Amino acid sequence: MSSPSQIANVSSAGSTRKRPGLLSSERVFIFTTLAPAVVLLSIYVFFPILYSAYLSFFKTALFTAKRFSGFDNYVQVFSKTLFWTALGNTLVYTAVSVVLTLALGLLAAVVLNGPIRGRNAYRTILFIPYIIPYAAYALLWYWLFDPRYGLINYLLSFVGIDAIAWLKSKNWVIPAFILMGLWKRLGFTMVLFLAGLQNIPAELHDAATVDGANRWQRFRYVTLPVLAPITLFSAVIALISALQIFVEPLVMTHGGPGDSSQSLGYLIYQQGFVYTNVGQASVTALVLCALTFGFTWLLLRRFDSKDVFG
Amino acid sequence: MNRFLRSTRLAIVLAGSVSATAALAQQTDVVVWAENGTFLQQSGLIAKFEAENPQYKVQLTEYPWQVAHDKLVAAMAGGQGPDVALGEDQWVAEFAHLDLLAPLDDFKAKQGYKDEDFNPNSWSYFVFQDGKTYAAPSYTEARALFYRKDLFDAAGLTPPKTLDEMLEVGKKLTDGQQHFGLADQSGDLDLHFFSWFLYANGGNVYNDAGSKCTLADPAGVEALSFYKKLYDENVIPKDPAKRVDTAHGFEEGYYAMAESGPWWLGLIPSEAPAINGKWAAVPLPTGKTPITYGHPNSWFVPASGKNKDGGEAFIAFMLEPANGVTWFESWGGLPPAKAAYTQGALKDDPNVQALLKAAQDGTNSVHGVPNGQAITLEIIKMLSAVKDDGTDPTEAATTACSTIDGLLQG
Repeated sequence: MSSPSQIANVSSAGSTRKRPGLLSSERVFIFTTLAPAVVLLSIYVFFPILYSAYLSFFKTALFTAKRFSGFDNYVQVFSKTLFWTALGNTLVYTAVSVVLTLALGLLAAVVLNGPIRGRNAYRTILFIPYIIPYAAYALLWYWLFDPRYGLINYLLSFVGIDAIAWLKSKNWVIPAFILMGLWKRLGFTMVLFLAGLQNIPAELHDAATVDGANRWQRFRYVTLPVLAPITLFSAVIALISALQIFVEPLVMTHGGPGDSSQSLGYLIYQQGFVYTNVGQASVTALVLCALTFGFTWLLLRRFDSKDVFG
Repeated sequence: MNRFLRSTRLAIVLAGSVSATAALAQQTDVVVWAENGTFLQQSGLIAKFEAENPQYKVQLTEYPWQVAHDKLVAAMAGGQGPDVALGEDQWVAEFAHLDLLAPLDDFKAKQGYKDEDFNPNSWSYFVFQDGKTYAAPSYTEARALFYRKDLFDAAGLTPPKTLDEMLEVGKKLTDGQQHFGLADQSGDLDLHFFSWFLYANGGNVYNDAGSKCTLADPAGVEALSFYKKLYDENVIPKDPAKRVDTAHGFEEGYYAMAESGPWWLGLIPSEAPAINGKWAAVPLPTGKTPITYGHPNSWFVPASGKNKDGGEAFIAFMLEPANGVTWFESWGGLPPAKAAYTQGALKDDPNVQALLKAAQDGTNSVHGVPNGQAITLEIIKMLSAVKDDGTDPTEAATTACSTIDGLLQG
């Protein structure tokens, strides 16, 4: 990752060069290569966000703005307990999921980076869930969580734990989703960390060993700091994915029991397509968008401002 | 002579090729959306339709029931809907309210369909508040009580005919650990389950005008109290950790009774052959009225459809009694046309007759009002409050009505 000083150096070096004209071949090249991405992002990302912001101030008929209603949609959404339940569930799920995914992903990468027999097979087994389609993943876990016929409770019974009502219990449904999400994303995070670990020059560890660092100290003061960019990337990907939790409540619980597994993503879907109130769905979508940008910005700032592992 | 014959053959081949090419050129796509598990392709009906209607080529897309409603809303709102779609009953009025559907009154008149030729609650079910018919019946949803004959025989019991009998029989078949009298339901199925008690008790979700929620009326609260009692008495597992998958629980004998639909008639023999001969279906036990939960599902033509003629031709084909029987044989959807019950597998099957009786005795469901899908979600939440939180039925019904009243206003 570029540090501010590196960027400053590049800028100052650039300032000594002759500034290219507006239609210089260099600028034309830059514009033409950027244009497809800008056009696609504008159509599929920027425009929908702006249109959602616009619709959030209107009484809507499906996707058409009918009547300006000021902040009425905001008041309606924020005054409902359901929104705060969905927000709380989403934040709890995201916080626990991201931390566990990063911690266990790193652990798996460190273990499977070592000289273990059959490590490629273990890596493949851990990565496969990431490529399983979401609907199949949800159905698979629906059966695994069945209180009587599911594998999870069967395994727990061997250690004397009574049957848990995973998806039918208000207390267990979010932990169940966390477990599922961990299974799905762990392999991807592990692969990212593995790539990072394999790019650490052996000289760094050798130098630390010569300086008397033990195994833990080498991990703490060599491996972790070098992995900071990978950790940031993994954290942002895991964060965005967790904040958007949607398929699990849609396929497995319909947000229930009661509203105990409602998430912001599922609430947007319900508001827009079940209650056909796109104005209110836009408000919730903007909240989710703000959370995503806000947390991502915090992570970037945290990782960019100082050596977080130093 | 040879030359003449060769020339004649060549002319015939050329003429055939030209006409086939012309037919292909005139062939138009009919975009059909249906739900997974309705086996339109596997039943051979799509191929038969195309053979009988060479001017049409069917483009079939199947979605899970859970997402079909929302896919349809998004597609139709964007002007990209199919030419004909299979859907639930409560969606029709909701879509009609949003101007997303084409009326089918002219189609019905042109085809000469008469209400009396169909099961009760067929075409009339899809007449919206503006007096227009926005869907055709696709298949009849009726429910029956499936029970394990072996368990009943061992306990010296006979299948219940009333709800009170069902409660008593259920208590006798429950040990609270490994055996329960009646199966738990979840999601939409829980809504259907409770609706049975509601209608049997003379209640309804809303008043006749569809303008006010009536779940908190005495009949509604009584039905909800009965539903709660089944859990409180452990006839259905009170402990959520003991609420297992309905079909597997029935197969194992963990549940002695389960409310379900005609698809179980095919599902049990194929998926649970070990209990063949150990189960049967009987009409749902009744309450103050013989009315139970049930309804026709729908075929509708979106207003945005690009081939409405093709869509209507497909509906006409599916409504033919013989095709209804073929469809039933592939997955268990009961045909809406009465003539279908005089032929094939439906004629002498006592289990089918139990379901047909339910349809003929009268059924009801959320329909004909705006926001039907959202209303059903509110009812499911109400049921969760009662069975999971132990909320008082009056309080739960009143809370549900406070939201449903607004939804009924559109």
